[in-house]
Amino acid sequence: MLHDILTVSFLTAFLSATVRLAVPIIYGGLGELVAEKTGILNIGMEGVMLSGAFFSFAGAWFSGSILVGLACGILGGMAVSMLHAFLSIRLAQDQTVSGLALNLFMLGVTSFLYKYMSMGQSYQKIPTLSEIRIPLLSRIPFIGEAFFARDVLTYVLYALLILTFVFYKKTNKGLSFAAIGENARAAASAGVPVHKYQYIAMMINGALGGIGGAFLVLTQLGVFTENMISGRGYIALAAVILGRYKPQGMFAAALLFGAANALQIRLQVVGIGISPYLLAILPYAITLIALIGAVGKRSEPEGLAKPYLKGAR
Amino acid sequence: MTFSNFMEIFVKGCPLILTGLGCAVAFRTGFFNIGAEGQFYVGAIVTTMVSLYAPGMPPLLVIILALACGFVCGGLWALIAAILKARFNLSEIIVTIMLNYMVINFLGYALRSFLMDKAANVPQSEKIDVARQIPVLVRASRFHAGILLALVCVAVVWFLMQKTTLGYELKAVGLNRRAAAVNGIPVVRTVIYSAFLSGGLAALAGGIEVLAIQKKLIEGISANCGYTAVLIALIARNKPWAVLVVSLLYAALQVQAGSWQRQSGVPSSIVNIFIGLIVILILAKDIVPYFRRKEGGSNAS
Amino acid sequence: MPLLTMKDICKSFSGVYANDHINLSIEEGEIHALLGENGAGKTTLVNILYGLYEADSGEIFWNGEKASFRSPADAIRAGIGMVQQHFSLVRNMTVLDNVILNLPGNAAFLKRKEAGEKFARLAAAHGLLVDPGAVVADLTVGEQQRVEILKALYRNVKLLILDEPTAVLTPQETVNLFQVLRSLAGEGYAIIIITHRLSEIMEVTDRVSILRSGRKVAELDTASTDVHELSRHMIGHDIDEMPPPDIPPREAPMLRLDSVSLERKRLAQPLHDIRFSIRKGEILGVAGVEGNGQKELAEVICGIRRHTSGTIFLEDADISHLGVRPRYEAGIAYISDDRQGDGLVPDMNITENLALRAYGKPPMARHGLVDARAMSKVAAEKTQEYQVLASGRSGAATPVRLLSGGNQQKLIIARELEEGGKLIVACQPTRGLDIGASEFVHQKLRAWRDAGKSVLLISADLEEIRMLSDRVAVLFGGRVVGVLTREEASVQALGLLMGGVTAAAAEGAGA
Repeated sequence: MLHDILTVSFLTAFLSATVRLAVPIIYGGLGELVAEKTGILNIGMEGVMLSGAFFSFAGAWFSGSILVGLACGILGGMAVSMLHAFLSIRLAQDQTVSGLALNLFMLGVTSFLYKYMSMGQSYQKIPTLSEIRIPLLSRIPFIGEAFFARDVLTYVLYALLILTFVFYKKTNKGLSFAAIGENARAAASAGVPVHKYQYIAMMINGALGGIGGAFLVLTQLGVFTENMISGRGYIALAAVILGRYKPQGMFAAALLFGAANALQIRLQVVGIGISPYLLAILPYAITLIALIGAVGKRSEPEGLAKPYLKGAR
Repeated sequence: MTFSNFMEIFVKGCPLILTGLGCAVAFRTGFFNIGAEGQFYVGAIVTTMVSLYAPGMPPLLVIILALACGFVCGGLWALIAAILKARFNLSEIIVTIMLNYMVINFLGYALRSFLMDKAANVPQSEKIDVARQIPVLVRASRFHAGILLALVCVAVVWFLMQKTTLGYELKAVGLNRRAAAVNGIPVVRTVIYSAFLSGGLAALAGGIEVLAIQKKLIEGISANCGYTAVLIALIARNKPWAVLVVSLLYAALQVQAGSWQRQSGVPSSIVNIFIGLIVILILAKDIVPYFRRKEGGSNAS
Repeated sequence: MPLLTMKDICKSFSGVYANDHINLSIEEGEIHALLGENGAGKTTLVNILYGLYEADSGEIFWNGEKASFRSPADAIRAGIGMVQQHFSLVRNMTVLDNVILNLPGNAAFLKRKEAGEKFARLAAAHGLLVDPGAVVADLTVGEQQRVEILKALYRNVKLLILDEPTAVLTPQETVNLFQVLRSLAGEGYAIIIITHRLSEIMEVTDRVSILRSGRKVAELDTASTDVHELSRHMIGHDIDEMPPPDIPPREAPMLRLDSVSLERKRLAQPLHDIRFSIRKGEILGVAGVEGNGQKELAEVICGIRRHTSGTIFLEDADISHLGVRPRYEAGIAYISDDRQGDGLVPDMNITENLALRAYGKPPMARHGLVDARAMSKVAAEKTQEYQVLASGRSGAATPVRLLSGGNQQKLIIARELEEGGKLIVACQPTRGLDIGASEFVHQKLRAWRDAGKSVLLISADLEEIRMLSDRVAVLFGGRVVGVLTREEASVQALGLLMGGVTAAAAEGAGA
């Protein structure tokens, strides 16, 4: 059995699936990272992604254009994030409660709208984004196929990761954005417009989460199904924690979850005689184990989920 | 509304009451148990197994034993998150969500292997012996004895919260964990009790659903009540009697929405939107003091 | 023309004037003190100047022109810098990143190397030495204060505001700070220093404005006044002389720590080999700059943290292995310096908070069931005895978070000073309280001592320590570096020990 697994074609397919399955988590994780760096904990990432998935599907379905679908997905994600931003920044509400409520609310909204839309008709798949092979790079053994024979959204993601890394490490604004999550009062007294930047961060949070959800629809499945994010939003939260609030770390953690998922799928394809339902437990179990393993190394922003009110002491 | 529809409110409300109580008990201690969904299924699986495989003994005893085993196992399942929280400070939200997906996949596995009814061609367990089912109490409806049990649970949880020292501890730990510890309240023990009770109540809902409604174990029987329960507990501000009221209102809406769906085709999941919206509005209600604050300035200190 | 003029500044919070028509003007090169008790309105006034609060009415003129600072960013741009009492530093960032955070002149991409050089020049020029690469969380409080000052200087401020800058410093560090301030003033910087310490004003300032209950009651030239005049203006009467201890302590020890250590990884301040004892009927003061192990010591004695080695005795019984509750029941009570975080559950009401220690025992509970009536009765008695005034009509059902700091503290004391108690660990018991409430607390602690019980008084306020204590222990770097009698405990002697200069070392230096 082992010998079936350790073949070139298995490994290539496995790596390829790893990246494919990690991409939505990385998008969600990146959005969450940007939010948490400014002190806003968005437990509602699951809802953001679900909204992105649904609205991208609806947009692409009615317009026939993937691009319009993507735009709708981004807007859908942003709508949820901005609601969370309003509740947690302006009204200084408990961010956990708000995020949870939004998740469940969006589950209801998307299921309802989908059922409403689909009354009396069955949906065809919508067209999905095509693969773009990058010359030379895509021919590197194993890795080339996995990382450089992908769709445009994945390439955009690579660029975003690098951008985020540089942003926090090297730029003036990046320093300000990161300072807010650590100590909003200190940032404010250095003249950083705390609430404005938090809103900006939440817009990015919504856009990226929206793309993450849209990616599932527009490149992978071509359809929407109820509750299709199935925990990826929460796994993105876990990836941020595991990645110690750094883009590169989050990327690695998300790849780990992608790999766990890919492994269970590839094992099913190879047919090793373990129930697919048991294998499907794997990614969730690995997330848990990884979180336990990372205990003590976590470095969350000191001001995470603490509302900042101007003039309050 | 017909009589059987009216009774149906209690039938639909029963699992919501129990899971909602479960969430309320946990939230009260500041333990965000989003795992009611998973704990529900742990209860359903364990209760089914005990009911199917318990050796010959009086049926009433089997029912009690089956529910009790479900309760304990659901409680223990919730303890995983409590211990990880207490020991490693892991977010119980992420942990309970992961545990939910694990249980639900395990259920899929169980119904296709050791629990599968060989005679059926869909994934389901064998039917539970009629004598070992929870009996229907009101003729021409599905009003069953489990509903009474749920009502008893509301009273018990209320009593626990209001009248016992444990209730005082739950509240103090939930409102200020640090001060509770500084003043000698056993914080970890309190969280563990509340997590266990919380998981147990959700599991009880699962067990009752199997023994009273489905009479066998199948997939999807929770109808997401574990997640709805989170919202119910939030709306009820973790008060047991309010959980009862909100659950029944929600169930009434659900029953009504069911008939709308049949008549006009509006999907019944509109009820989910409705309850989500209420929670968001409750959060947003503070917009009034916000503007007042803006006018008056903040408090001096 | 003055650099800054504030005219008729008014600000009220929920109807109470924090600033009532205050006028203030500052010249270049002037060190100006704002003197006043807690709640006199000093901090409110500078927060208005710094753009953190908005004044209800009044005008600010900067360099002769009318200005309005809506945010700290505006104030900084104009040239005003503030070192707040609770530092505004990002603990997990480096010193340099803190200094260059959101600088108006920053390019889109940070030039850390250049900034580092400028920082080094600035630091050297003013004798403010700090490693720019160090992470702020690793610095001492004194160093963090230097970072704050450098942060302001780096922004080319002309006016520097310091809010209670010496509260966290040793007397020796204070001397250094004052030298720095003097040299800055010599270069033409204007400085506002907020304080309630009279001696410091005499030492370093040029002019003094004195605030009382939101009003400015006097403005004086430092050279032509003295502490007595200042204090008369500040509190309305002369400072009381130190009252002698009423009853000398007995010999029998109440609490004894025998080489107690708290040494764990990731501990802000470990404790090393602590030995001392408190006698019955004694107040033992613990002096020291904050963050030298005071809180850890208090928590180890109360059982909130478990010490890693050594033994703690209460009246000769080893209590090392007891938890918080058994130690309380054995007689150790605790007044934490963090009222809302440690001492109270702000969202519970007065009755419930008074039950926090004894909710599980008769008369409050029997057989695991609480007796609400008994709880209310206890609450009614205690609130009357300790004069806890709830502002609302709801009385004992008022959530504690709505009470004033003084009433919250009274509540804690009412709960902790139980008849069966033997020792109270009082950590910064009067911080943030007004004079009346402070006197109440002092009186209760004295009465407790006079009843033959013991007090461990941890305070950063040397006046308070010297006024109340029978003996004073000094903590430095998690060690007890000296225990002085009342007579030995001069400000000078305490100051040396607080700065880590032990008696032996001091003698060595003198010889």
